[in-house]
Amino acid sequence: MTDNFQINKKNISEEKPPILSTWKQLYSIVFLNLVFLIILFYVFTKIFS
Amino acid sequence: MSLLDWIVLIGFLSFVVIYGVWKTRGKKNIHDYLLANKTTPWYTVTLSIMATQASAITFLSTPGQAFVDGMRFVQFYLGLPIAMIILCITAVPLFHKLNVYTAYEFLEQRFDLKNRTLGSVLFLIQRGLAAGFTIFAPSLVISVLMGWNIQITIFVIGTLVILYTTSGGTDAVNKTHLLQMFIITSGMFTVFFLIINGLPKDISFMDATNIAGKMGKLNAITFEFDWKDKYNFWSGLIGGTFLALSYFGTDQSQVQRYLSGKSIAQSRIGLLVNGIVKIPMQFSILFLGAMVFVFYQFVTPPLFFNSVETTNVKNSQYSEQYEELEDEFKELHSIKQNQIRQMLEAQKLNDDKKFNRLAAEVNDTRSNELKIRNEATRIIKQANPAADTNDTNYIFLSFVINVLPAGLIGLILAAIFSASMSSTAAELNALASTTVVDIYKRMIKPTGSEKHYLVVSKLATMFWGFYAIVFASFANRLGSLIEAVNILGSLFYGTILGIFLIAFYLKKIGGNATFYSALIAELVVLACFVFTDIPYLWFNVIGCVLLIILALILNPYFENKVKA
Repeated sequence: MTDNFQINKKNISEEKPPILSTWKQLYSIVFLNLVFLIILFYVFTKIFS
Repeated sequence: MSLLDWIVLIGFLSFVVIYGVWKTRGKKNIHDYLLANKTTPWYTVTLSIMATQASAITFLSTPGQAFVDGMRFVQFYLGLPIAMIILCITAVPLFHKLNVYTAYEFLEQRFDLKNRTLGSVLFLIQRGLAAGFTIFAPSLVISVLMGWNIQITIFVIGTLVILYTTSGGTDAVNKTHLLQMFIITSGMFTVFFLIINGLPKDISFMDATNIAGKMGKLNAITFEFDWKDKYNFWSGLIGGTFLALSYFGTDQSQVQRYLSGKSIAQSRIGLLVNGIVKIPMQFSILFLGAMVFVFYQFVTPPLFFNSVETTNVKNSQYSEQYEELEDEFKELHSIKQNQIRQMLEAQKLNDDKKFNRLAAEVNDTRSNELKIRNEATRIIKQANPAADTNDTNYIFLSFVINVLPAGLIGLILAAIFSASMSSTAAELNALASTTVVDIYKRMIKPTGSEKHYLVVSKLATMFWGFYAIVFASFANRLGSLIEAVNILGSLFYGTILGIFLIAFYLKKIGGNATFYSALIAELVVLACFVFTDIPYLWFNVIGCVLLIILALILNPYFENKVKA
């Protein structure tokens, strides 16, 4: 690992998301959407099988 | 094809090229040409990522996949949202802050030049061949069903892409992706509404959904774990996460899309929105295929969807045998139609016992139909031993050509051309970036002017474009190319992913350990390919895991050597 890489990496600042207050909340929404879709697809499969 | 179809097709394709060239003219340096001056908003990043991933063969074969195998293919995408989150946390801020043009440039900042060169050369080999295939595959299907000359189809797709990609670079690729995604989505929705509208008057949308479900086409999720089953919840979630990490995190054709984002936040939002909308989009395309299947329960489909192979067998000594099978197929189809109608009647009367009995009868008749189809493919193979007996890719376009009204055939062909052009453009753009930034500028001419690199970038884009056209032209004579390209990808993808995983997550491992482990892992993968019968998809896992284990073992040795 070069020094240059370490210096740059330390400088990485967290930019605020344009919606909601933290990125963690946005990631949670994407993850919960996935869980919701899996449940939805499971119910869909069961109802029509 | 009618005059109206030609007007729609040529009109749209001309508009895309003119818009792409005009809207992005006057690029002055490679930052502008290769990264669109980092001015791309999140919605363009999202659509560009989606357009890059959705090649024409996705739209041709995904509905066919649901027609043949049901909707379980949707599980393949379950890992994608997780990969998007991981990349937003790690890759996006790092790539942006290091201000890199390519993903492989990051490897030099993290390790050294030799790792960067290894990553970029592996990418150029793999993606260079894939670019040819992205043009060849849809050209083959379109040419067979439309009776067009495949060489002309390949040349038209390739040349149109070269025109605007060479002229406007990344900005042109991103901006034309917006138009292309619009026409692709419009085309798919139009077909969906026409299918529902084309069903018999006494069959409602709910009836159609019930028929698809009872005939096993709506099997979106299965939690049963089976190693041999390609698509289940577990393989989709675990395997899909690794595959999406590899594709979106290390493949320059995707990395370049979010590197052009205005800021870290815009790139992240672009990826996260892709993580939200990609699965519903694939679900919709598969559902469309299930509805095409229902449509063909009331309209007799061809026994085999590849019309060229059907014509071949009918002109051979097996014609009588084949036509007998066609008659049997039609008779069974008519019986099945009556059974389906009775089944729906029983459902409306809430007669569960009768409904279940008739559902079983429908599936029995369907099994007999499949036996006839298998016999038909056996005869096709006898008549022409080189025949491709998998007609999945021909189902959707065959439906479009035979059922849709004038004007809409042109719209769907424009959508398929768009899908092919959008993927190819992103590939040419990425290949040119890697050639210029990682090879030419870094190793051959490091002190050129901005104008010089801009000219070289344009020449590189043209070179890869013509290379893709030539490869696609010869591909027709090389036999089963889908498998060949997939095998080639699997030979290198595992190693590339392994290098990046170490770069991101194993901070203590240095460049020497990574590089030599990558070479050994690559040799082992090649040896597995030559000397064993291991299915090629496992090469991704073998290459990646072996590289990481070797790097962990070798790192202390190289570290001590440096200290000494």
